[in-house]
Amino acid sequence: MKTDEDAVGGFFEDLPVLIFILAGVSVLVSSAVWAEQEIAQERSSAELEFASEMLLEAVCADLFQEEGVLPTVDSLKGYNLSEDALEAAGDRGCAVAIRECYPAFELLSSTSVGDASIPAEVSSASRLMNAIDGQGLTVVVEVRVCVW
Amino acid sequence: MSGDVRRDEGGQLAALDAMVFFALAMLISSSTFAYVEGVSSEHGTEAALSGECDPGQVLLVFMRASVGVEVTLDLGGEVPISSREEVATCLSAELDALAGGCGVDRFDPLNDALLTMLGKLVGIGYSAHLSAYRTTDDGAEPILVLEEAGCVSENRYSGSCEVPGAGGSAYVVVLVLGPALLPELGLV
Repeated sequence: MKTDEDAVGGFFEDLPVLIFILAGVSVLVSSAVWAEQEIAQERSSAELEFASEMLLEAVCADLFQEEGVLPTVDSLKGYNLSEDALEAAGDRGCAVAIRECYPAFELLSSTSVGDASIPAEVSSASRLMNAIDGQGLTVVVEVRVCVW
Repeated sequence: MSGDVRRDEGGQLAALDAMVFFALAMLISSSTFAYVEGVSSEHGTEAALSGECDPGQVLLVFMRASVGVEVTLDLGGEVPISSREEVATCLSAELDALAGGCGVDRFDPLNDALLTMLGKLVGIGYSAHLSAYRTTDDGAEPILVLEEAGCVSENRYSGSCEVPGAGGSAYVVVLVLGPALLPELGLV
């Protein structure tokens, strides 16, 4: 059986070259894949964040319908998600909680839509608002929404 | 196989080229890592500090709210402040008195109540710093400073509003929010 010494020598001579090239290509490919995943994740987070902001706007518009007229704490206790709010959430799961921050610290109402068993990612948004309680005090309530 | 490996200059140049390619690949890769990581963390910090607690919104709600507790001030005689009194009204009266030369310690019960209220509004994650300024021809002169704890973090956000005073004067009230726990932990 004939052996080609030049070919064998050439192969071993080119092996380090091949290793460096393969390592370089794999570094480039892996960093590109990682960057693509990070950017996709960032985009998904931004969309979720936008959805939570939209839902918060819709809920606040529901609660504070008249300009300059503050809602009562009692009316906040019976809040349910409206059609507009559900539309803002889209096909995502969402939850809305309204709590009094000052002077009392009390959960006024909470409602949720969709399966919240294992949400992969959650975005939340909140806003402080004024409301009138039963004793005529102007209290502070927090409206917090979560979207997943 | 004889094991006699022949080497030539062309082969060494190819190895050198491959090493250069590998170094460039590492450089490009690390630049990509740094850029993407930087963009992600920057977005995360902004969202955490500015999105969740807007100082302008907090200040607006704070000024419209009732004081919530009964407070009695000693201003030569006892002056009771009803819990239904609006914060903006109380603050306006206090700033008028301070601008007129009254000592700030006389308003300690009210200031303590306002600071407690602010702390409840912003939550434990933030440190609130409220200050009021009187505008003069020379600029703004601070006449009241209320703060929970000194905040040295660079990640601070502020909001302001104008409070009308007596005789057509006006004061500027500024609320600065920063991360609360970082200074105490010595991380900033």
